[in-house]
Amino acid sequence: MSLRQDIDLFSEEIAEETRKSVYSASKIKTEKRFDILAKDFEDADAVRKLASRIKQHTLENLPTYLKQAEEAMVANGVTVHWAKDGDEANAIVLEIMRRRKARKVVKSKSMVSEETHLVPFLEKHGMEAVETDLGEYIVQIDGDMPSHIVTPIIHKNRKQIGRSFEREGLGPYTEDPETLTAMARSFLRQKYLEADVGITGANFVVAESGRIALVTNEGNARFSMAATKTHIAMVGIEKLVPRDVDLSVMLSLLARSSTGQRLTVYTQFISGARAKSQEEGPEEMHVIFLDNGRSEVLASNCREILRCIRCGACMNICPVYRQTSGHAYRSVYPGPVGAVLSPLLNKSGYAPLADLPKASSLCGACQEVCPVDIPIPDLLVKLRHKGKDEGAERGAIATPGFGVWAKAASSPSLWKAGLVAGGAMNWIPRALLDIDPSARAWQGSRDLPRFEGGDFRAWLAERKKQGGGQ
Amino acid sequence: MSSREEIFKRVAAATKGLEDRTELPAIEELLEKRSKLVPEANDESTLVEAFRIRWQEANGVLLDGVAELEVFLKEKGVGRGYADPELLVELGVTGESLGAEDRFLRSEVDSYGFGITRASLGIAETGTIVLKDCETSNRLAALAPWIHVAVLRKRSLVASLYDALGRLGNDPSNIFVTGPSKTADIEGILIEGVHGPGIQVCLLV
Repeated sequence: MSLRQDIDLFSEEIAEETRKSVYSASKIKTEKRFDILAKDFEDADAVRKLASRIKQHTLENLPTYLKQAEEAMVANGVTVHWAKDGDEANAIVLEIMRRRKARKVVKSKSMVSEETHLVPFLEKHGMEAVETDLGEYIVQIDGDMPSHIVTPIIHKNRKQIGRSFEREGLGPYTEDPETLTAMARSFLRQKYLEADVGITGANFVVAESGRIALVTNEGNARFSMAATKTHIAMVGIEKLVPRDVDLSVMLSLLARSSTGQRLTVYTQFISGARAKSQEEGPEEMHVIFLDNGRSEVLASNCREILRCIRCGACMNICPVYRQTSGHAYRSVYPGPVGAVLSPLLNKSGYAPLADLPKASSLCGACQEVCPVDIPIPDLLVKLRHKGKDEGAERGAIATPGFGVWAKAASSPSLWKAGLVAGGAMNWIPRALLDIDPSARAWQGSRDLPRFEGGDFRAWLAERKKQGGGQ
Repeated sequence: MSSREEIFKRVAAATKGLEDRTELPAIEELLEKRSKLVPEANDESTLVEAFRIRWQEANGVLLDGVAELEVFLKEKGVGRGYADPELLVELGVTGESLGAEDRFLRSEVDSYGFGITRASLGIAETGTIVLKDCETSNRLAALAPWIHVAVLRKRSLVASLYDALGRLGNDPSNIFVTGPSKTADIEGILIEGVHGPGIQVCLLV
């Protein structure tokens, strides 16, 4: 196995153009976030801490709130389903569709359905499933993967999109973003009107009212729920908050942290099928609560990560994300939140993604911008321990061995000998030092400073002699 | 064991022995930490002024009274449109004067240049209007046309997001709208009018 971490190998292959667009887009969003929070709140930090406590309280009492949410939903006429894992959740969607004799689905952006690979699953079973978020639609027709949880095609430029639209027959090649958007508007509009089912996620679920809250800027979730007859919402079990009014805090932070908006353009609060007087919209509503590893995270010492409201602020500010882009994280959730969440939720276990918690300088910027104040650096350190404890190969790659250092540091005579011998480093050719592969990997991108150690005691003795040093 | 039982068993086990549990923050704290944008006074003219500023900051179009609406629609040169017939009666205008029909045909969804429906609440803090399902005559008419005109009564303005969330009631669909439909998915460039209206009007009456 190579001594380079997978995330490094991925980032080496990123085109310079992509790296630049990811870097600048992330930077702009970070700046907008800072500006609007500082402008709109007396103490934005105190609001983050408040949101953090609301979510932490909910998680610590999750059984109570899940039960309350279920009861409220049933009272509202919603059918509630429970799925242990992605396969079960997908099977429930398929079953609802078959019962409704449905063939076509329009889907809004939902990270949880990315986790379960819902769209390929439905296609495999003969259903037509179309992503309706502009970015997600482009990802779908290109057979690509989202590289950011809020702006999924942050890694693509308008020329690539123009070629994809031309290839799919949406219209002649253009690079004009406005024309491209209009082409998608007119194409997807037909898809909404033909579809039988609209599938959404939920940004929040309110326990007391059984309402789901859903945010989009484009209006795709609204259209799904205006044009189709069945609404299915797939929701992670960690999405709850106790009261409707708790959303005043969460929503105040979500859009500001995410895109620098005060509120997302459309924030929908849905608690059932359409009103009796309403001409358009779903006749029935289903909610699928999905565990998919969340209850294990809740039981672990990293449960704070479940507070996450998926704003993307941590990836926007992260120096590692800005250089590597999202695909390097090889999972649905990139960036700092992904470095914690992805290995924990990974279907094939922790080990294959054990390098992600190491892809961080622990600078702490992610926690400072987090709207629910998740101690991401602490969690990353905990996961590094986990990687070591479980002997995950990827958890140890490119870490120089500390065995020799430990032995020397625990023996005064060896330590002194080392200090004397250390001077030799200054005249030994570098090539000879790189005998150990881990040393080679480490030094490949770093210069060894001149050795100037070993003189402290001599300096101190001389200083005392001269009467200095209190 | 059903999946439901198993999930409940797992979350119960995961949270059972937890010490130092976090208290649910009191309502007073939620109120105290609201943004600086919540107007201090609660009278109609203060709320209208604050709403006007925020709504326009979110790129919404604000019109005062039906006369302004007639001029606006003429200027935009929109052809066929739709208006909630009951709402027109309340406003004291006829469909003909606005060029609006009283039915929204799903089969001709792209032929309507505008849709006029009711807004149930407005939020001064954020410049937001609230569309309740019971008071929206047709979901598609409020969404599909390039121009959506939401008719909002000044007395239906509330000060804060917090206040509006306390008034969701038992309506199955409350939609908070803050400006026109938009995206920045392509190279971060802001484009208005993706799936919903490219022009979002609020007609204050």
